[in-house]
Amino acid sequence: MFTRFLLTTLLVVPAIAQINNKGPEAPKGLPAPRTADGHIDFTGIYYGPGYGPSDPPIRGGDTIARNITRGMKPEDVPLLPSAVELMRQRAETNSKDDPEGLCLPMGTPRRDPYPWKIVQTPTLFVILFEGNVHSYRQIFLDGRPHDPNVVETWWGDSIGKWDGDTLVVDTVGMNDKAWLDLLGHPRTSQAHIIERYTRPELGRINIEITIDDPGAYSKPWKVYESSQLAPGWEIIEYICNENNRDVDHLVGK
Amino acid sequence: MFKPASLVLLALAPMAAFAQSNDLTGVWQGPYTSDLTRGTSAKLTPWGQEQFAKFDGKQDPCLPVGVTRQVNAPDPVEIVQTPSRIVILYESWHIFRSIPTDGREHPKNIDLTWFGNSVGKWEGDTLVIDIAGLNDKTSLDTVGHPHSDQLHLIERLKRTGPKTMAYEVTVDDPKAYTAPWKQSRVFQLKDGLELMEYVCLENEKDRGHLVGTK
Repeated sequence: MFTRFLLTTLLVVPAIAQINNKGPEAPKGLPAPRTADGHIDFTGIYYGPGYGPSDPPIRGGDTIARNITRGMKPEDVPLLPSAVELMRQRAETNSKDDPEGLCLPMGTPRRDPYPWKIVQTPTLFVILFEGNVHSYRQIFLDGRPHDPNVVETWWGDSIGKWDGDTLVVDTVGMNDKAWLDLLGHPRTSQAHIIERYTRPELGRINIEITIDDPGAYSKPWKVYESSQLAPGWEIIEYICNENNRDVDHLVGK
Repeated sequence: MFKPASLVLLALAPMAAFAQSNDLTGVWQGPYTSDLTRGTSAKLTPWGQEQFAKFDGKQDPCLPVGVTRQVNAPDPVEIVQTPSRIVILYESWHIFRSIPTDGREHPKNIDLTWFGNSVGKWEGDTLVIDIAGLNDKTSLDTVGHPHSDQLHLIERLKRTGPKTMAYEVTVDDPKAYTAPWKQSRVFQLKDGLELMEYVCLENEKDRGHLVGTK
């Protein structure tokens, strides 16, 4: 557990060469488990995306939590001029208004470095997040459509369906308050997000995320995330607004 | 042939809906319970009386409220059940409890936390959840019944009908109460209800009202 606290400390020191977790790993090459009805079973606890022991070293603080577009070419992130301006303002104020730093929800599909857990039943896919606000996402697998009267929220209204061994999660009804990362890539209330979850082997989950948000981007664009299984770990309690030391640092420039 | 068969089916229908009596899956709602000791045998120790007298209601409204106050809340809860784990999702504070039912024991050195360490096991149709390692930063209910960090809770959840679940909590805290005591209530299954998002820190207006009663 110490490594996780260490990780938090190191996050604010971007010069660190490598901050991947040390921890348990599943044996390589074993197939993903399946449920009684033959679907891939994603149930398990995973390292934060990119933070597993076998993930490529994270250098210079270039994490998905800081920059959801890390490693991408600028032309693959089709920011509208208004979104460029919004990001300039957020950079100018040193991300002081980042909702995540103020203990508000990350919102879909933002990620942090902390472990996360999936609990899957035939009709429901639940994600439990250790970090951020220690909250959860519910993804309905029972075939229902989106709520026609959806109220805009941080996490949105998520429904999932199977495409072979891929779980396709469709999310609408998101508010325009969440940031996609610490740098402040915007998300507006026009956002429609499609996540494609695959588990190519026991020890790994991959997610292809399509961000379709005409309020901030000129066309849909994609992000790829990968998380390593942390066998034997458990989610530990994490209370953002208890003794929050971050808020005093969020003062702008 | 058809008629008798459908008669049999009709006769079985109410039982069929309730056949899996050890399935707690669903969205449930219980009565708001502001005083957990009401109607129970709870008797405070002198230390407990002192804490109760000191309670002034000045708590941060967005910090966790602990297990009993979370269960006391009137908002719906959702139980997600797998063979090795029960997850309870709460609408209020939008927080979760994740309870292994795979036979494990509490860890030896538990860090004290707001929700403690829970392990569950099935005793017949009853889910028994044992909770240890709770910090002393919360009270048991909104009227301020105290507890110490010696608090040990046992919850018993049992489906008693197609739409009902019995809930019983045993409060064992030798520092605050003279003997263990129990409180019971009934939760109702709410078909079609879904949990809403709840973000305590967003536009929170309560803090200004929490000025203390003493």
